[in-house]
Amino acid sequence: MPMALDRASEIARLQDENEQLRTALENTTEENTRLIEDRDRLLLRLTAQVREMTVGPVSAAAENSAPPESAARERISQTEEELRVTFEELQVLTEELEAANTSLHEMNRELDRRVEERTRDIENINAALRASEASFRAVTELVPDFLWRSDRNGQMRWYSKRWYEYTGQDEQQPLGNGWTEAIHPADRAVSRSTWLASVRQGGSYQREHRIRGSNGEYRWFLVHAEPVKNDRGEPMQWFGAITDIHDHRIGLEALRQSEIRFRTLVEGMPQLVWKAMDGGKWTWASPQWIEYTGLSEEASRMIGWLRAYHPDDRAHAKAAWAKAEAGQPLRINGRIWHEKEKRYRHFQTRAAAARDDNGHVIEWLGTSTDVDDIVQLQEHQQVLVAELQHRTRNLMAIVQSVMMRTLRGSSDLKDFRTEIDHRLAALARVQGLLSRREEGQRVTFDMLLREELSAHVALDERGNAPQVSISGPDGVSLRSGMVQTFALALHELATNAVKYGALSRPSGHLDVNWELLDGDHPRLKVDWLERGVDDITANATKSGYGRELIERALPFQLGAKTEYEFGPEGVRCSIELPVAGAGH
Amino acid sequence: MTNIDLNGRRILVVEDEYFLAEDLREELSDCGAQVLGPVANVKDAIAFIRTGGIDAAVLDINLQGELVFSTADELRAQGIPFAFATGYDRSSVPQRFADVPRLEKPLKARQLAELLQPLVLDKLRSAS
Repeated sequence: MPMALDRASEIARLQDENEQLRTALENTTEENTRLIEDRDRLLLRLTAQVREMTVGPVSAAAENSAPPESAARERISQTEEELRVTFEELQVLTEELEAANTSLHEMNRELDRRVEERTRDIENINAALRASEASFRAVTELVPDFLWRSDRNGQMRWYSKRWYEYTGQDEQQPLGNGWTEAIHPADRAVSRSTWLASVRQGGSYQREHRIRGSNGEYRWFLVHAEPVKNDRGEPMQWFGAITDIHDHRIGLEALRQSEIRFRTLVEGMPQLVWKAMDGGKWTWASPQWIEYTGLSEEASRMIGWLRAYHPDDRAHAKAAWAKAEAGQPLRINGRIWHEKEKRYRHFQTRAAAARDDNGHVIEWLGTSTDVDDIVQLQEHQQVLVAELQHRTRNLMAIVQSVMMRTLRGSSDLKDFRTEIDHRLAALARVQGLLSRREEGQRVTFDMLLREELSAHVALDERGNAPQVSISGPDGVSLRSGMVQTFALALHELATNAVKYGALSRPSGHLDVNWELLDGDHPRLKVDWLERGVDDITANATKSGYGRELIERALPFQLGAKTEYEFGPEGVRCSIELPVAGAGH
Repeated sequence: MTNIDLNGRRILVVEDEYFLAEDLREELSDCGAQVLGPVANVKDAIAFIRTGGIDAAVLDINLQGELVFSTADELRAQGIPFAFATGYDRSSVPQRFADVPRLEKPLKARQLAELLQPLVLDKLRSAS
């Protein structure tokens, strides 16, 4: 391109020179004309003098018949002198004229020669220019880029063929500002303004924008232009190249998107995520890991992460990595330090390796999932299942035992059936209470008492009935292990009262009073007082099972102190046993 | 009724459920044993063992929420044979007691007597 530019300025210079020669020629011609005018004027004067010289003496002779010969001779000689001077002047002038003419001819010849020479030069240059222009165009069609040229004002003057092939614009369309019509509407305004800004500043121009193809689809291009400057450093014109970067840019964009998605996923998920090289050498840890463990990313790199593991689990973690290198997925079940709670929590760590075509590990991508709650729940569940097993089997044993005892105490099967029915119902009620406790409710003494009494008599809201008065603090909690036996004992007291005691006749009355005896070991004291029963001893033998429960089972099993006696008005029983305390 | 004779051997019953403890006591007595206890908690059980004179023991595993294994350790330390009577499945028994005979509730005292007899006899033989 600079070559073509040199040629163009060379032509301009030659044309200037031609112009100067032409002006010089015109000046010379004018000078010639002036000389010719001078000569003509002198010739005219000469002619006039000659005529005067010839005609003068004749007229004088006619006027003066006898002119003095001497005066005439004087005049003639005077005239002759003038004539001679004039003639000499004429001769000088003529010589000058001839010289000027000769010089003019020479100048003309020189001028013609030089014009001819310059014309030849110009033709040569033009020919060379055409040749180089042709090879330049050939080059522009060879490169995949679109090439263009603008004038110093940023108006497009030329586009290479490939531009037209791609955009489908006609030859004139992109010139001036028409190129912007092919730019994506979203990019157009900025492309135009940045281009004009570059033109104003005279610096290079670079921009990525979308250009519409002849098929109507847009592709991404990189435009790059540089100004061509004159000797004074002023941009004379611009040359630009437009490179298709679509696939590259789309690829990059896809990569960026996938990177964003990865980050979003990784930083949004509850798992702690990390990347590692083979051998468990971490290269990256997610923000969650850092926040969770309190271990910086720096400190976690390489095998620094191992320090977040429970000391007892570190060997296992290392062994898991050794196995993973042998081609298996990585699995670590171990405890990881939780900085906020200042304790270790159970984690399940899994990682898979990304491998290249040769099967070499590129990197490991791993997640560590907090399974502590699950582990705790599992442990809790195991405890519950074991507890349930224990309780069920124990209950079966109790049922068996109660049944045998009832059988022994029954006079016949009818008696047995009634008795066993009630006792099993009492056991069932206790199970109901205990299962309610598992829903988060503690079993309290008042609850147990009301439950048992209401199985025999209709109680009001406060737990009283016409023949029953109860009195004592609510909310005295019972340990779960004592509820069953205690309930069975209360059942025996109640059922005996209904069958033989205070609740077996209209004159009877039952008072149940209790209090909490505070101290280092809180104790519950219950007094069961029956009134209005005078024939109690008649049925005393029937209550063997109940008495055994109260007098032997409660002390043995619950560490209770009990008294059971037949007073003059009926059964008097007191039970004092350790409890958990009031409320919870 | 039975050809099992525990022959006056002193057997400690550790069981917190009164009725079950009583049933065991009764039936072991029927088999000729001299029943010690029953006791309902670890503290009483260990006190009994340290007093001495026990030939064998039967242990409930869960005593009012308290596990009986420290009692088992004490028995083992003294070379006294014992068996577990439990509602728990095997996984809740520590590995070190994997070889200890276990009877599941509801318990048949006769099974227990059959189980205890050779243990008691072995102990007698090794002692003599």
